[in-house]
Amino acid sequence: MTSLLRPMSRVRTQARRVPLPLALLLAVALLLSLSWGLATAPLQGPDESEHVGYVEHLAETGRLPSSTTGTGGAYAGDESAALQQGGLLRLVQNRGVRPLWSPGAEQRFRAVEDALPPDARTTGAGPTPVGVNPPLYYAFEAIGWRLTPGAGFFGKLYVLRLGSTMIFLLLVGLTWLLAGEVFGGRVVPRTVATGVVALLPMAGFMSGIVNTDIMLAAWYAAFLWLAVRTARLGLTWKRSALLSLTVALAVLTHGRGLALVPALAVALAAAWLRHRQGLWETARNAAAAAGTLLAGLLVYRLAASTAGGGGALYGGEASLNNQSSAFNIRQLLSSIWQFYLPKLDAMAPRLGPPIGYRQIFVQQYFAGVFSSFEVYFPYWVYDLVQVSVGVLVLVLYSAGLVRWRRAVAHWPAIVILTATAGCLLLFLHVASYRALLGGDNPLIVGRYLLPMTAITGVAAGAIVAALPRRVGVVVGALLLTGLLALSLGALGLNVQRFYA
Amino acid sequence: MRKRVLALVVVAFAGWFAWKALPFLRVAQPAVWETPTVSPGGPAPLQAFTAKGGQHVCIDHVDFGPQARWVQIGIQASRFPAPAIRVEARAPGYRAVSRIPAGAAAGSTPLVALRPAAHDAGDGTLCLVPEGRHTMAFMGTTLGRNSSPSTTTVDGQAIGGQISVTLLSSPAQSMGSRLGDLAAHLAGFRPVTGWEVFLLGLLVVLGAPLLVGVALARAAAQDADSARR
Repeated sequence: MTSLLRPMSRVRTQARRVPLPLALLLAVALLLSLSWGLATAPLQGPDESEHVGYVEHLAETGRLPSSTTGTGGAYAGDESAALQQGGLLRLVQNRGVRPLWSPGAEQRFRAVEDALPPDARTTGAGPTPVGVNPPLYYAFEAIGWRLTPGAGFFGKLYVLRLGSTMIFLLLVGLTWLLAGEVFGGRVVPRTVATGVVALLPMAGFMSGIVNTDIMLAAWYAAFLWLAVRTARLGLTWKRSALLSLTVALAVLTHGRGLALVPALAVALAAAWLRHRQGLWETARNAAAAAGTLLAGLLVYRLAASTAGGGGALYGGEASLNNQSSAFNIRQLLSSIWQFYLPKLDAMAPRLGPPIGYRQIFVQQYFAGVFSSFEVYFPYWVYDLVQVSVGVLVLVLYSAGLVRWRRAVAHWPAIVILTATAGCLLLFLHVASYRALLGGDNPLIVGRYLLPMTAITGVAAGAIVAALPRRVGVVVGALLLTGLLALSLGALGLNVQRFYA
Repeated sequence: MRKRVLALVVVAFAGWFAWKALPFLRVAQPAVWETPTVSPGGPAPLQAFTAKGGQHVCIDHVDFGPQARWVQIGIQASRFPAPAIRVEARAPGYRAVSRIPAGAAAGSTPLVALRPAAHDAGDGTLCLVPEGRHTMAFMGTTLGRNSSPSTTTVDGQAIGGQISVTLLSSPAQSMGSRLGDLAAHLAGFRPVTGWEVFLLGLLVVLGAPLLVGVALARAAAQDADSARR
């Protein structure tokens, strides 16, 4: 008995060590994430049905579905039944349709599920569009799937969404650690940085559905924390290996994790420049980083070899061979310019649909667009968010100019954070440009910015830190209250769309 | 300082709640009970389905119950104003008949009251029967990705599409007055009860601003202590 109680008391002691502001923000994040999991009807998140199909196939067969081959399609038998007989497919993007919720409909679906053949859960071998994704997130979710053996499809789906909630809590915790590295002992900026992540509507929404993006955001936050910490404390082989491990985990989660590879080089260089080590030590640290990345590559190759369809993971975002002949660097730069700024006379019109900073950053990331893009705020909300973000960026820029000495003292953190954000954005723009060379899909949406969420939080914390103490607290309070209002407003719109 | 920070968050949140959330909860809107089939919109293209006078256009798997009080259908263009349409609802232990008066315009979505079932009547059928001689057209959509669990038949024969039918609890009711119903809807197909959903909603609306306020207030107090030291 005492041996049982000892670990419990250790957990209690550890829990007491969690700072109160973090514990409270974790509680808020948990409440919001659980609410998002309920307010979004099953399989109505972006590509959620395909992600669930991947998890189920991996959990039931131990194999990855293929992106190109197979005869089973993207879904197993029970998910197909949920989409067809459960009426969930017709729901996607049609605001006039509601999900079934009556006990009678639930009973009828159970009868359909019970009548499925015994191998119904193993049939979703592909082809599936998410078959190009590496397996880490799905492997994590497959554990939840396997641990709920008695539940039907909808019970298991609920557990999968709880898996995303757990990752969201990890993201919030990691942001707290990152903000601690950046702001030292100052708790208000740290709380604001973490609060922004916990309350950002898109982060909450993505944590309430089944999708790889939330895990990718967590690995980015882990990378940033370890990178800034390493730059502060100095490189060791263990820190190099850990830092590379976060990159490997991100790469094993999604193709957009590849954007962390150049950021890793910048982080290692910043840490080296800060502490200047000898040749032997540098070689040892570089070997640790390279070894970890190679191990990650090996895992990737193994995972790819179990996937059908040529053993290739990653889609158009990562494969560099297609459309290479049409690639034009001037056109790419012009495309990036026109994404953020008005077109200059000398520029040819940007490829693809007329989207830019306003649509992707403001509407789809800072404020948010929900469900499968059919739940959104009134336009005045996006106007307000755009103006607010503009003012905050201006304050941050001015604070950087006024307090440049303090900023210079923090150069490694600033370089690491901006390089990571820059690498991600450049990666997204190049991927989008390449996709537009071969078709109409711009391959860039707001949720792809989710890996930047910890950086967004730290930027908000930096604004609060740069202001006089009392003003900073007021700005922080208004910012967090505004984000909470946005989150609750978005939840209300989602409930109205699906359940009213 | 600590109390002032907490008060600022709570007052700012309460201001937003009074300014935006309360009016949102008070706006009257159709209270949907069930959408057994799909209405045209978004990815569901409009398709018209014709029926002659006296033909039975039916959909199955309709859940009638105490809250299924109104039926809404769509009328498509035809040479004449729509004839009167008889609406028949049937389920084990339940039967109700209503009538949409003649003259509904093309493109309109008439609404007709239905005597509700005393209790959940389960799996039922809803039929629309145009009266008179003329052919008329109902609004509907194609099958494929818009397919519903309900099948549309004309005189017992399945058609290659579905007519659009929505069951309402009320044509205009505020979300605020239906919080219990909404919680029950949210709990459907999930391993939670309506009460648990309701409790979570209450915790989010009342608890989250307090938790954020206390977190920030505590942080401000800690920073003030550090500054004094």
